[in-house]
Amino acid sequence: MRDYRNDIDWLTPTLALCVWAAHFLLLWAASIVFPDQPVARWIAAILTLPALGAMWWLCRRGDVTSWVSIPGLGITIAVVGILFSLLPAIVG
Amino acid sequence: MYPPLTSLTYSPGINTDFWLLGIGFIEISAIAGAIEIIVGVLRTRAPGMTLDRMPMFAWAMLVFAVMIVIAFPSVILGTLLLELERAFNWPFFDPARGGDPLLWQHLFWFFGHPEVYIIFLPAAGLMSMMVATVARTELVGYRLNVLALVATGFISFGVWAHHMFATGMPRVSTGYFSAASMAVSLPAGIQVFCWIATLAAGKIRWSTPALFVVGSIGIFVMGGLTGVMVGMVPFDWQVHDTYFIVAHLHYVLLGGMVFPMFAAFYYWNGMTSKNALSERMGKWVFWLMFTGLHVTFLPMHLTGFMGMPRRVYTYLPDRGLDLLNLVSTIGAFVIAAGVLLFLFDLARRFRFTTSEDAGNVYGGGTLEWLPTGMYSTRSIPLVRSREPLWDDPDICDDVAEGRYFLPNTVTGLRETIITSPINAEPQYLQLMPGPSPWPIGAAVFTAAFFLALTVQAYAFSAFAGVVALVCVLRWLWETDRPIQQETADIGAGIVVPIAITGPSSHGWWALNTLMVVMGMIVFMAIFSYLYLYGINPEVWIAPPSLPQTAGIAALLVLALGSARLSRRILASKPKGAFPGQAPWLMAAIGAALLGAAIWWDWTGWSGAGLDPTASGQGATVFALLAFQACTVAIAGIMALYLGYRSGRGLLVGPSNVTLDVVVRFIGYAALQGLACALVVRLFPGG
Repeated sequence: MRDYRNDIDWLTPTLALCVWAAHFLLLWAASIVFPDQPVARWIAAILTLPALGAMWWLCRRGDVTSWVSIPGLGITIAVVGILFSLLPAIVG
Repeated sequence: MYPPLTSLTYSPGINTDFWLLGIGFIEISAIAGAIEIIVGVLRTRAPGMTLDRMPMFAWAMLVFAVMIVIAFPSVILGTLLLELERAFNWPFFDPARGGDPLLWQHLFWFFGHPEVYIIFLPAAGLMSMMVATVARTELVGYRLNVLALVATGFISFGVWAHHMFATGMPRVSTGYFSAASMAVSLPAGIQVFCWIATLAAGKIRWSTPALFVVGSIGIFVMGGLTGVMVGMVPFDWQVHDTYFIVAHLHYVLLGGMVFPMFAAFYYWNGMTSKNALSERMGKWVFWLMFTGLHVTFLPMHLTGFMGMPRRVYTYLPDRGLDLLNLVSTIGAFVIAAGVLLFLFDLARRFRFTTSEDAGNVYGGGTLEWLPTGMYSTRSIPLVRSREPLWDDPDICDDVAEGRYFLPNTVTGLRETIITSPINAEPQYLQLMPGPSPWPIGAAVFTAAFFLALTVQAYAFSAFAGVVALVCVLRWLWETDRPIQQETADIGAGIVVPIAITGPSSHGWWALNTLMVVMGMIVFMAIFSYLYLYGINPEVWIAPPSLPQTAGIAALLVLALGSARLSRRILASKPKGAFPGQAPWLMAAIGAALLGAAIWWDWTGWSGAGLDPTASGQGATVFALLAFQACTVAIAGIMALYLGYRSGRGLLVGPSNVTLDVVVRFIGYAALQGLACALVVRLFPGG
């Protein structure tokens, strides 16, 4: 019988996805408040910096042994989501 | 159901009202169920079933229930606002008076797209369970699968407006939703690869559930790929409202939900039926449905590209659509033949039983296959692995012979073990409600309340509402029973307390979840207010004066303080001591302060000249006030109930579940009142 450890750090991926959600909603809110204006794109770029900073902090605090660990993969999905969200502001 | 088509002008009569109130009623039911599921999954697992040993279906249901709690308040609010517009002429969606029809689309689709995943995730959980059984091996990537479920739950809330690409949203906004729509395919892909890897790692036994499981993976992947295609804005513009979308959604839902449900029916049928369904017929059912699905929906991609619109009952001849539509029609009959064959087999073989069931026909390894009677297992096992039946061959006999926890009732009442949320360690013994007519009375009269509203029988509706309330309170009266016995031995020498209060209790978790639901309704209502301001700021009037706002805030802070003081007074008393009437009086004062605050808030806005029928601002502000008034009314009823219990001497120190629930609700109502009052009074301000 396998030993099912219960020391998986589920908090780190959950927090990473929360950061993605907050980043996404703020970017969208900016695009609604400033429709078709460059300021919405600048806000997107600026907000991406703290979002990526939060990811870096999560990497430091969490049990991120590699990107294929659960916390690592959670952060990876969130980072991909954040960069994906930034893309329309840069090239869209 | 999009406004303005659903406004009173274009949809007179009660048909739309019937639909709206029906939707509201069913959403409230779903939320009640979701709260049960969240608390059930997190607090009533068998001892030893840590989060890492939890069946994938339980994980899927947990994510599903959390998504319901976040998503469904949006559609409850949407239906409520539309009903208010129809019944009282409050112009939420009327652009001539500062409303906006697109507000409905935002509220609806904030629920609507997560709803697709709410449909899919339980089926995905079932798939993960069945894949392991049909491949005769552990699920590959269990933790990755869990992560994928959680990530899907999150990202699904960032895709709602991809249903609105054709409404003329700002260009960058559409880009964000396009990006999120593609990002959601990442976790979905992780799940699919886990299933494929499991099938590849094991040795598949090609039973009927196995066919449906493997078939559904292929169908779902095809639907998912077209989903990524329509996530791209220019492509979506071309195929929007065409048969391409019809093909996409059917591939997703049939592959993501219908086929897994058929697999599940064959797989778990043995749990409640004397006979297993026929394997031979099952294979015919699968091939008819699988073939029919592709014959029906594959051509629809082409008809969609060729310009065939959806939601039409016919089409013009000589447009090159005839042959493809004929093929689709033939395919639909083939699917129907498969379903009819399934129903025939069901009628022939299914015989309900509670004791002589066909059992674990396909050899599943999880706990639902323990021997049970009408009232579940004889004893609650200690869980040591993810597939206990595979890893411990004696577990069924041990459970049936009562060698595990709670083999007999400790208190003489119905009871279960409440365990800790992460490690599933026994924490206390919860006494369950016994047989009672009150829950069924509450259910019948709650339904009567809503149904009477739909046909505008307001007097009967009010009567039914009062009776439902009485039934609920009478039912609750039995659930917080004082009991002499303080601890219970649940087996293996483990002694736990009986019924506790505070953060360790399951009631604390349930109330917190309810607060999240109510908070989401307020959040979406505030979003509606800000959204309408952004669309039509010229119809906004100045709010009442700042001193009045400060006064309302002070009342609400005092209400919060009263609630906290109430609990402190009770907590200062020794065990079993009656604290007098002070605790409930403090709670009642808190509720009264809430009432004073909402009255002042309402009259303040009326005095400032705001009319709910005049503008989007009036409609949204008074909708928020009405919601707060309802919350305060509930708090008042709870305080009276607490007073009645206190009068009967049932409120004893140092802690009491009823008081805990009532004062925390009053505290929440005060915070909600603060949010409602401050946002609309301070923004955008004078």
